[in-house]
Amino acid sequence: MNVEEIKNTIRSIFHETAPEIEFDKIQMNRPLRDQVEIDSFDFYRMMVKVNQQTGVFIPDSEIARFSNLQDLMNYLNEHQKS
Amino acid sequence: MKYHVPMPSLGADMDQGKLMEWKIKAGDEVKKGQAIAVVETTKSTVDIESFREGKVLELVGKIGEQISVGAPIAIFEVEGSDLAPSAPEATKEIRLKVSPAARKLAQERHIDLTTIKGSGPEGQIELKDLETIKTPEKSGVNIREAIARAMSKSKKEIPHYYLKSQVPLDALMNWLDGKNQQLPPEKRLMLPVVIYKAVIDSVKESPLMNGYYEGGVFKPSSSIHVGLAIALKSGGVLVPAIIDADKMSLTELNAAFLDLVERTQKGELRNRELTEGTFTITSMGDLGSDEVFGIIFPPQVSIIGLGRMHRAPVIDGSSIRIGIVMNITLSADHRVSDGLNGARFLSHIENKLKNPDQWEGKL
Repeated sequence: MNVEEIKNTIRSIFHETAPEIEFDKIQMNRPLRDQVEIDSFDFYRMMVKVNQQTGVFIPDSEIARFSNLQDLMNYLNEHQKS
Repeated sequence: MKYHVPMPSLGADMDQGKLMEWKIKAGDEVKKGQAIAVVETTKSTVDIESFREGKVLELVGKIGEQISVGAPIAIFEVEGSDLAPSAPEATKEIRLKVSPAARKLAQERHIDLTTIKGSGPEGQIELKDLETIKTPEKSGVNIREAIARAMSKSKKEIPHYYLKSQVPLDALMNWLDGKNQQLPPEKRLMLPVVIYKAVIDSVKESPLMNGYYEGGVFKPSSSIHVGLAIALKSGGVLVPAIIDADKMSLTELNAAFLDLVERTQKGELRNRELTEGTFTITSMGDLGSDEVFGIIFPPQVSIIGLGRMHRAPVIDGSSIRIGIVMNITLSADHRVSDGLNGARFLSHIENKLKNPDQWEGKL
């Protein structure tokens, strides 16, 4: 997947899991939780879907280091299986 | 003999419930634990389960009716004579006389009929009695009132004491990363659930934290039903419990938690889950504050608060490193336990979180 495809995958997962959030209004480099209300349960469901749809497992210790969506996309880009 | 099925209390703050749906009809044989009706409280819609086995003689409650706690909603024919309360006179009197037109309007406008003084014969509530009543703007108003009542009661009656520990979570996260990597994505264990497991296992060793304080006496509970404060997307907080959480493996607890959160948001809880919690955990998740000192949910006697996970300096022997930590707090009832008991409880939790290998082979 290229960067645009990764973003589209995340957009689609947001739509499925938290349809009340307008994904395209989220600024990728700003902390996600400053912009939208997302609880740990929804976030967990998103991580499960990210794993299922990209094949990339993201450990909790890495998630704890992410400060915004760009960090998540960078991680997926670096760890996806070719 | 006849058994009058009462409107159950689904929390210390509940005075009445609105009958939304019958799941039984006259003539049905009902088993203990069977869902018999759906009741709406100020907080949620709940399946009411039967506490007795028997045959349905009459459905007394009408759909849409607000019924006071303790007032009969149905009459069963049951075996034996023990534990068979008949409807108390006081609750019979609470049954409201309402004209059909007034009842329809009240239902449409969500007006609580028990707050209305009727001007008709024998105090019957008529349409004209409702015309000047302002409609509640949204259900969030009621849930705020319910929280206000329960928390005011707690702060008035329970002498809280508060303790805090900062717990490093690096070892736990490394252990969890290793486990989750081996599991299929949909079976992934949630970090908060692993922390709940450590708390539940510690409650087993701290019986003064688990049970109810009622009538001036502490009644410890032999079961552990952990209440979890869950923020509703529609506003407010509910505290449903995972029943028999102490008997669950980590995997089972994870599945039970996911199921409970989903049903809480959909308003599909069972009455036991709202009434039988024996202690509570409240969690900040990733939002908000580094620590939270909870208010005890009466008649329980303790609440554990989980703050936001964050980075902080951790002292390891003679060196300092940056670690991932969580502030875990305890608010407990001083009528039941002392600070030393509370400190031991927190220490049990901390030890379990620092040594996750204890769960090896017990997932």
